[in-house]
Amino acid sequence: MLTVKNLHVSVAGKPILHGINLDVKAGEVHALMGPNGSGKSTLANTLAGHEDYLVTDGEVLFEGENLLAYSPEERAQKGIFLAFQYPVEIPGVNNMYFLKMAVNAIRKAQGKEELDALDFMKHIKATLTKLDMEDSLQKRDVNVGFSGGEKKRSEILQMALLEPKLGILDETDSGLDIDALRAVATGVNKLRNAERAMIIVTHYQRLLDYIEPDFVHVISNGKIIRTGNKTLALELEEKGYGWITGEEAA
Amino acid sequence: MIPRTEMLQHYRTLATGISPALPIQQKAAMHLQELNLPSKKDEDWHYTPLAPLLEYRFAANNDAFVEPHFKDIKKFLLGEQDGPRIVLVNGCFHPGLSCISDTIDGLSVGSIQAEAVRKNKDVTNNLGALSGEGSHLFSALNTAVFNDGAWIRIAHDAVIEKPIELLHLTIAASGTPIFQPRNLIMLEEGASAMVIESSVSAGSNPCFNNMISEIFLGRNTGLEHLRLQNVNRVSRHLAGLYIREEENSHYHCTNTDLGANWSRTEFNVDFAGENAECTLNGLYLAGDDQSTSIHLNISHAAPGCISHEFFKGILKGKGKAVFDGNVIVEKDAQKTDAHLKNANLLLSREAEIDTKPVLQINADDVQCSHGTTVGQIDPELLFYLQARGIPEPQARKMISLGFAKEILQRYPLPAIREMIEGILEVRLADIEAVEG
Ligand SMILES: Nc1ncnc2c1ncn2[C@@H]1O[C@H](COP(=O)(O)OP(=O)(O)O)[C@@H](O)[C@H]1O
Ligand SMILES: [Mg+2]
Repeated sequence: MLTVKNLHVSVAGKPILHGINLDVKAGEVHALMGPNGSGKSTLANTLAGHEDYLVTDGEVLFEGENLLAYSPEERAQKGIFLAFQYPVEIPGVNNMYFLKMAVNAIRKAQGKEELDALDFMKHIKATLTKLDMEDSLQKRDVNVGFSGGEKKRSEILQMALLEPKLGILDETDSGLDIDALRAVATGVNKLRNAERAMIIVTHYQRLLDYIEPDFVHVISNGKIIRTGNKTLALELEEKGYGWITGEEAA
Repeated sequence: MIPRTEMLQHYRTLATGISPALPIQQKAAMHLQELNLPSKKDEDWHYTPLAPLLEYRFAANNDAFVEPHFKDIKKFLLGEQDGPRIVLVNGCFHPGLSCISDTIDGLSVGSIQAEAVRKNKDVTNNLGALSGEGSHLFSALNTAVFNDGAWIRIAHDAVIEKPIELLHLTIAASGTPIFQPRNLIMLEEGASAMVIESSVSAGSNPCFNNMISEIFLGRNTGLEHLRLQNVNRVSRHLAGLYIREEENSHYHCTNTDLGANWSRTEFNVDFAGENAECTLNGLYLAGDDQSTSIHLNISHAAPGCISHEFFKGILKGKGKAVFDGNVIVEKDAQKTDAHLKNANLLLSREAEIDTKPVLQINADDVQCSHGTTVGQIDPELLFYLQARGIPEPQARKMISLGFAKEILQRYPLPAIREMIEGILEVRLADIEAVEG
């Protein structure tokens, strides 16, 4: 589904990613772990099409197509979803209205019929039930005044509503208490299926207690330095990043 | 462009050979002969673009126009169907379209011209009491030769539940006419009311609307004033509002300027009694071939008064706006609470804003602040919406509408909010991407 080859990315003229290789197939869950500043968000934002992230070398194929040729909205319409590490507040834009615009923009681009107000209400109700979430956030403006946990839950709800092929979760677990973490993990697990792939960016092993990954990659200094299965995450937890980054250096 | 001297002569001529009903009009006509056209040198006009005033010889209009019917104005109405309504067509009171039944206790409304002829004391004593003979050429011109307008009086302790609607409709069948409505709104002690005032056009010719409203708020009164200007995009629109607030009175105005080639709105608020309060909320939008100016003169002469002014503007294309906000706190106005705020969203590189909030404080025990911002659409907000599949132009529109919402939600009536949102949806549909 997603193939990242020798990806080099610069931000503000500074090279951050130095040749990332990654292969993600439908149904797989990949965990991307690494110390702060190692380039995890840079990779996530580059895949979503943020204009500040300049690809200087390499390529990204999504379902066989050159992903880098598309605008952020086209990537979303093709089935890429980024759950933001820091979701932004959008004053004056009602959350429910935003969700409806997003769902319909994607449906329209995919040649599906747009949902009217009633069908959209049904869609959102069913999705909330599936995720075991309350709908108290829909009346407010997008992310405005949301707590950290509410913002992250809202990202998961958006992912569920938009039904992407590839979900990229950028530190959706950071700053959450154990209940919020569980709620997010439950949501993610319910969205796992044979057609959908996920890349779960995390700093800690904690989230992986709830979401079992098929692969674990360790990124350091803009490079993937180790790939393994979930035991790699456990080992990391035990020995710290120094163990592996040090080993690399040695 | 018409030479300034010729233009000045033209306006002076408009005020000669008349026989006005009121002495103040005579005075204004004389005063006008000494006034000059506003120029860059006048502090109050420094930033207001003046060239659009030299394009046409706007003249009094005696042409017949097609009589509007109720069905023609229905789409503009914001009040209740059978609520009190005054419709001014080309500045003149229109009895057929107005609805001024005397059935509402404590409410009197009518044509100001008719009341002047009847020597109604409200009009003879108070017209011009706040505006004076006119501080500039156009206010003097209106005072001297206004067409007609609304007279509204709310009696002692009367609470008028239904909104009072005031519709200014211009229909220019031909030529480039000037229309000069004049309104007088008086709330007696303890009275309260809501006035919805909108200015719209039915024709596509350029008109000059030169209007003045004087508003007298007695002790313990409350007025909700909901305004909307959406005249055609070739017209000039000048609205002078003069408000005097007695002790413990409340004036809440929410104002939106969307239309006109050139518009200027002047709020003059005078606190004449203690513990009075004034809230001015404003929204303006200017696109290609549009300029809009907001001028505030808030005078805290009495102690313990509160004034909050908050104006937001959206500028697109080659649109231009001026925000000239002046709040003066006099020496004796202790315990004044005054906050002046202006925020602008520039949607293009060619758009222009001149913002000048001024707080002049002569008392020591006050709470005052002013602030102004000029910004563009935050790219991170844009990326967030795009990352959800929303195309960039639509995302820009959503963020811009969101920016306007903060003001729109202050309208205490959904009908006007929805009408403005509808207009903004259309006006913001073609937001251009800001070129790199
Ligand atoms: N928008 C940006 N502007 C400047 N530098 C950035 C930007 N985004 C990331 N960086 C830099 O890139 C490096 C990697 O950051 P990031 O990808 O956010 O790491 P991580 O998500 O792994 O913590 C850091 O040195 C960071 O300072
Ligand atoms: Mg990060």
